[in-house]
Amino acid sequence: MTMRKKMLAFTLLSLTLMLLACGERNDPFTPTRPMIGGQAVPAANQAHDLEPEPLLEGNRAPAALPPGDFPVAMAIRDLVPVSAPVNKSGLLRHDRKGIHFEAYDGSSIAIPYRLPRDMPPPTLPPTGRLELYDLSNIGGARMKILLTDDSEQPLFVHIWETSRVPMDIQIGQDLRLIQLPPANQVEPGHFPATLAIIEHGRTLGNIAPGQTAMLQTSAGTISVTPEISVLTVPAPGVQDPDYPHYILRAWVTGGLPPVDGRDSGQLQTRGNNMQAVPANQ
Amino acid sequence: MRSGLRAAPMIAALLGIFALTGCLGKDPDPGGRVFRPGELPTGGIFDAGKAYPRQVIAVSSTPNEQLELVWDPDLSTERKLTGDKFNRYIQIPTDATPGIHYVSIKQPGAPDRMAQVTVLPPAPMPYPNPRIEDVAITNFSVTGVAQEAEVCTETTQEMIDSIRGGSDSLDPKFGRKYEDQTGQYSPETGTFCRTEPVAAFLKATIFITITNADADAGITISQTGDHKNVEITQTDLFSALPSREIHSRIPETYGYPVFHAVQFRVDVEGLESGAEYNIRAMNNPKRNDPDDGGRKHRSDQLVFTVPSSPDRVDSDNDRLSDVVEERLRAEGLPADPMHKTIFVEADFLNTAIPDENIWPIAKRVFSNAPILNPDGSPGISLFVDHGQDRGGSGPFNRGGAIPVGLPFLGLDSCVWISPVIPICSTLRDLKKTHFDPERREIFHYAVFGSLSPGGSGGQGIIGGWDFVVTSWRDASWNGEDGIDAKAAVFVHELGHNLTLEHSGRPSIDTGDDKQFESPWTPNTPSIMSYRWQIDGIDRDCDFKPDRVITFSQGMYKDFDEAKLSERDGVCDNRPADINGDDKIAEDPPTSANEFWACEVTDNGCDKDTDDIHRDGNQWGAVAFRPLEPLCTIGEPNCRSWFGERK
Repeated sequence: MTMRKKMLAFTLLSLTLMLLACGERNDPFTPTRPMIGGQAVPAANQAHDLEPEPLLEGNRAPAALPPGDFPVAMAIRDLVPVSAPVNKSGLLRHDRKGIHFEAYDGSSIAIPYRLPRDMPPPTLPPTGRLELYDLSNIGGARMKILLTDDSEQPLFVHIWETSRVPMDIQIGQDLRLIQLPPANQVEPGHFPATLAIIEHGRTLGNIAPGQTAMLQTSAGTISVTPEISVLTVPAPGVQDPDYPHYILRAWVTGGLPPVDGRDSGQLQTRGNNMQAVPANQ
Repeated sequence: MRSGLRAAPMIAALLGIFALTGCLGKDPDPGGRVFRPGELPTGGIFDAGKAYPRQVIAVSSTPNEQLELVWDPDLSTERKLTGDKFNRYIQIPTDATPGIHYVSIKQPGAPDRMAQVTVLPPAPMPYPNPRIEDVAITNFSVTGVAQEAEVCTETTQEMIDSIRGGSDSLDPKFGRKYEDQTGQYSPETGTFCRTEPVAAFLKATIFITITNADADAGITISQTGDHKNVEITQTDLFSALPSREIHSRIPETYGYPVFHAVQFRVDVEGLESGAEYNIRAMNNPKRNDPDDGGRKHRSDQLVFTVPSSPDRVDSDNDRLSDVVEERLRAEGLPADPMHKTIFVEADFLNTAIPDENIWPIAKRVFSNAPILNPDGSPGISLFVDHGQDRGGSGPFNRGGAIPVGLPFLGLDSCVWISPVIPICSTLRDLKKTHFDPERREIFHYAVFGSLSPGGSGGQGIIGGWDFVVTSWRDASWNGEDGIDAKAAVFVHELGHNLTLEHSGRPSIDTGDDKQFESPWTPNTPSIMSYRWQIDGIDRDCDFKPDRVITFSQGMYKDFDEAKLSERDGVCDNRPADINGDDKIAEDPPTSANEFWACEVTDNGCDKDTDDIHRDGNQWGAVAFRPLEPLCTIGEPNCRSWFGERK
């Protein structure tokens, strides 16, 4: 036998050994008792771990108003919705996309919005003050955007809040929105809460939910819409500490031209204007 | 050619080595701890991962009674491991020292293999008591009559004739004849009465999932009232779910650290249909530390009721009876009586169509649920019909967009927004026209809308079948590392349908000495909590969200507002900015941030900051949701265990 043949024979022997070894180990875990009472014994489970969700593809979309034609407003800074409280003075600008606020410290905030139908958009002076927060969560809205001029008169206000007591919200110097408790609030149900506009302690007008009113204040004309203003009384036995509660979703625009022939406090109302109009139309 | 000749011996030698040590194409060591059923290697030493003393972990993927598992082979601490009859799981010895250990896996006629386990230092705390998560009863057979009762029914001449099979007139002979055989007819009252069996003695199999149970834990089952123990004929460790999550935690900083869950398959005899039973588990006292104060290591008692009718059997406790799941399966739906399944139909108002990516997110949340099914596998199968099969032949063709353009959506009422012009839809109304009644109490019904009047992201009925998702904010609402808000809201509201509240257990107001449900508990790591609802729960105890959507397992210690220390944090001894003022303080001011303080440190905003908050086992509540076990025999879908009445 030549050397080459010896080597080939050794190689073949090795291969045979290897195959035999593999054959011996073939499927050593074949269940010997695969069924208990007609049910297969399951394989071992992988250990449990918490898995973070992957980041949204492409990071995330720039913040924008949701689709639809319903009234809505939001505050956006650096393409992200603003939630932390802001209280700053700065420059104001208004265009098709909404309001642009540039604070004197250099930061800027965009406020795109769609108003309830027939509400006029605000007329903005060059400067003003912005106070806002949006601490809304899955449980409910907690949101306020309050834009005033340098004399603290309202230019653009959006309130969306819930509260265990009727809300009393200052929207300008000596100018407040006050929810009036409904007369019948004992029975379970939903009760419309009229919104009173008070200036210097004097009622300028009472507005029912769903109505839009033009009001002459001592400093100018404003338009007010309590889109939702309601007291919710739960059924007996409901232990939820959040009930009963009031909801207020209201809009105010200011800097408007005077209402013809009307004195301060006189109302001009329009009914149910819940279809939205885009900014600056 | 020459070089080839020279290389031949070397190749041959290498092949010989392969022959002696393993096989080409088979990896003797997977080189990692992550394995799935069926993926464990069949040779060599593999890394079974880390484990705490007394933790149950998997060392072999496939059940095999012929294996022998030996801990620390050839060392003075060598011992044969007992536990899993099918040799898939081992329980690490209580006295195992920290460091690397080996488990030899011997099989007659096959080479030994080794599993390497890195034992972690034991947590300086008493080992937690077992906690029963789920009790699933199945595989019934009737063994006898447990109870009889006289059952009377009104009859007519026609019925009597039918029973007799002829048209003889009613006479005393008939009454006597029937009385002699199966009952008594009374012509005066027009009733036919006979004694019938109404409750059965049953033989059954019970799958009991118990967190932190020893592999050889004891189980007792006794009937409520007489406390007589049920005869257990066989107990096997059927499945287990080790926790890897606990390896990155500091167990002693938790109130109830979860190391593993074990599922026992228990065969019992003498269960009475319709009767209530107590079940309790006790860990093996021999495994206890000698200095643990003589604790009894018993679980709390869990009460379950045996179905009064075969129609009420719900083997996997998912509130879909086995009869219904078999029917659904026959209709092409992916139901399984032995694996928890949740069906949801999702419709969308045309201003609120969600992104497609929310469905796989929601599915993952439930498939990764830390609970075990009667088939031994973990997780819950979630199927959402969002119209993906529309136009095709698949079963999920009812959900999807519906032509409603009103901006507001409520669950059951919204007329109060505007009494004149409708701007609001309700799920209640939409369900009448867009939900097939055949799906009632099989599919949950979800509707996506743009806004809810109060601005909530959604609403769900606790323990019900309906919920709305009204988060007008989309992914852009979230922070830099955000998850899709609608997916998180969807899971949250479905969680309400699955009986969950915002925390697992009510908080306590020590001032008023009352309990209350707080949605802001700092120590409930759950998507049900308002605190973690947007960007997922905090996984690493820094009190910041980590994009994990899940429910709580009830691991966290009580949180006492009056003893708030941000240096101690909430878990893992990690400081946490609990009051949200961007500082870490020993005794932080609760009013540091006007908007956060109330919700962050004073849950319920009652200004007294003396509330105690308690975590709760939400996944356990989801796991054990048995169908109402009792029904009245004779009513539709309520047969007797003894078959139809004759």
